Amino acid sequence: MSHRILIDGLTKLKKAFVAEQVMVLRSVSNELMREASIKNDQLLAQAAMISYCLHKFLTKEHVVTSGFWLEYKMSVLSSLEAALKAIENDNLKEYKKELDSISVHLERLDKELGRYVQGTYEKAKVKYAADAYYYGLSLSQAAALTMADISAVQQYIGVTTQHDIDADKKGIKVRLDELKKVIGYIA
Amino acid sequence: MAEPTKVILDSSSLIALSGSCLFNILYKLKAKNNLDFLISENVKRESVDTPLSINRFELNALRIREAINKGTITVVKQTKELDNLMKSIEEAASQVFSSEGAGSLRLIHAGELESIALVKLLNAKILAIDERITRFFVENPEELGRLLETRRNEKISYDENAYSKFASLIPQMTIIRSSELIALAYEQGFLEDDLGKGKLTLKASLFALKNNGCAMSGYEIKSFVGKI
Repeated sequence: MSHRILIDGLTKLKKAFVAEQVMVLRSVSNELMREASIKNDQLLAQAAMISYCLHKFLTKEHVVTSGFWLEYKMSVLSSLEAALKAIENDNLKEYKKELDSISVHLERLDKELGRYVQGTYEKAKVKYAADAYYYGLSLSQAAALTMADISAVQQYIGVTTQHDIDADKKGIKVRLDELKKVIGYIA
Repeated sequence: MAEPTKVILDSSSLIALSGSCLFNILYKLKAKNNLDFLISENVKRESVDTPLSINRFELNALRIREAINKGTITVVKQTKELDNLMKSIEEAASQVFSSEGAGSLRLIHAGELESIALVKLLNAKILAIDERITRFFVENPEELGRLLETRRNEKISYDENAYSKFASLIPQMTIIRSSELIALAYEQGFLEDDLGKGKLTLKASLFALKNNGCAMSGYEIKSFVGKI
């Protein structure tokens, strides 16, 4: 089941990357991440983050016009093809090796051409862990899914509206009263 | 002197407090209220050891590490008993929700479950946890089920018997967030020295926690501060 989603997702990803369809890459990454969160599947999450990064890089002029880009593009494509072949043959080890190689390439590109302290790949980990939290995984579970740092994910979520949507039913007053009762504090 | 009240802190509460520069309040709360703040080794790893290797979070990690060094927070050693209890709770938790597409849902991570297990083993009374899903899971699983259905747009099955089994493994406890610790600190006058008196001090402190990931809504803060 998970393989079918991976194969379909990766096929779409590769096609969109070749055609440089940035919005398709973005929608593929969102779809993959939704599935990754629902199934708590790291392989799907990694594919989602790769699609997100390729989308981001393609929208940055200084990246696509750099001397490095073509070389990166060819090696990413070659790894994508190898990963697809591997997953179609149910060879998860080989598939993971190819995806890891793409992740390393993207992180290196971040270092060479990135203009922010937090690179695009790192940002993808945090952003998609926050999405996984939205889909109902606990904070640590969501961070583990994308291998993001938990502090970064928590701070990212803190400046979104996620916690405004489903308010705490008890609220501060009730919880504070419960706390005071347990510790025996009377003002 | 009476036995201190044990408070188990999850990494989400430590991160919100240290990130909002309100961390020193723990020293005063401990002294005034005879509290014992305790964390698991896993929580220390998440909130101190790992962030110490990331420039952006190093300072926050140092604040927590210093509280550990000064004995304000105690790190509880991992034991076989804790590990076994955590695994039993984890197994029971994984049977509570399921969906057709994904089967059993493992929503809660070992890190959060370890804090719950610690509450039980140490006979603690309070768990401070700022992240929302674990809190929902313990306090209001049916509502969590509804939230999952809405967010995931798929049918989620909730097994009441499985939840009863989970509930039998976890202790009776009062669950708070860092926001309640800060509200208590406000009542006890601990925010005044640095921030001055008045409702704005409380409101700004609570929003700082919210912006650092404490799961509460802006409406909740305004409504609470408005009624003081």
